[in-house]
Amino acid sequence: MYPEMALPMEGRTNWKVFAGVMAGGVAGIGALTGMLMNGVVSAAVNLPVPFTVQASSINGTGFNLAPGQVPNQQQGAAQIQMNGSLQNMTISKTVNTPLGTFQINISAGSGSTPVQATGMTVYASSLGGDTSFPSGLTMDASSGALSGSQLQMNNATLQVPYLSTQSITLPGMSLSIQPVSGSSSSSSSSSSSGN
Amino acid sequence: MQWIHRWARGPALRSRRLTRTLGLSAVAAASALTLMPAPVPRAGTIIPGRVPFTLRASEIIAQNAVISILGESMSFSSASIQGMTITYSSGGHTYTIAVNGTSSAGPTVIKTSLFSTLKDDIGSLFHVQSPSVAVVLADALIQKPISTLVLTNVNLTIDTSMSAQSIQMPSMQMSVN
Repeated sequence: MYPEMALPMEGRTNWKVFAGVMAGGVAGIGALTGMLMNGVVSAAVNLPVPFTVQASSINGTGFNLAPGQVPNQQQGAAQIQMNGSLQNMTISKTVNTPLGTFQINISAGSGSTPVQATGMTVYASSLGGDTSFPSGLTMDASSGALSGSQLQMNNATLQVPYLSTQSITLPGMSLSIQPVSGSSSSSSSSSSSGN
Repeated sequence: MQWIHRWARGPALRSRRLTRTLGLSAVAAASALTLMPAPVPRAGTIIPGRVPFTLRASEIIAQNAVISILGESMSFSSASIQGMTITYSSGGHTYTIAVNGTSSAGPTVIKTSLFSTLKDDIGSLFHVQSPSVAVVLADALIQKPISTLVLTNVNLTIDTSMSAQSIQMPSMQMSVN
């Protein structure tokens, strides 16, 4: 037996091919992100943590609110279903990490194009704002549901344990991570694309 | 003889391999962390069952109001409602919708079986400021419209439905306890 046969087979990485594939993948993700920020494509979104949603105005259609609760937390929350456009939307969340406490903000729809969401399901533990139902509101005691074909809210604030949309466009989206005052370290990043 | 040469330059070769392995491992770990799916909770559930609402208001001024004892309903063409709160309980939680200010409602129909007890227990539902209680009860028997009906201390349980063709709720706040 030759000694060479006892050695393991040795492969080599073609770094040019590797770099090409990596560059292609990064460029693809960048293009998708850019199109999402510009409202060219929509994305299905599930946000997994309690957070605050604010908007200067919400125009909703097919509004339906029913009593519900969020699993695992046994927390009461109204289930809200609607399609809607949100002007100046901000999603914010405070996160505690070993490096300190940070405020994460996602903003979108601040320009002439609002955030558009379809098939939105929100479990809200609180909801506030100047509200009107210009096309009517029905409260049905047989199910506890409040429904209206149109909803208009100004200065809306929602505390949301769960949000899901079938699709959402986030024009001019920007993400910022800022340390909450008193935190020991800081980090900040943002990206935006105007409309 | 080739393995002898390889063994002779072993330390340098092993060092390069180690560096390459560590680099690729770092890239793989970063990719895995980036692509790792975040734990997403299940959507909540709707609590089934009948949920009567309680409508409270410090004052309701309703135009062209029609109360029907037989039909167990009240309707009006428009109303301004001061201090309106709507509460209902379901699944051990209390849901409260409170309006800070004056709520304006368009044509509205309220249906509740409590109107059948109006002539015996009107005071538990609301206080009639204008016209008099006697006029309201008489008109409610024959469903005669009341041009302006003023009610205070309204505490009305709605066990069927309330439907408004339009309604404005300034500074509305919904909370769950």
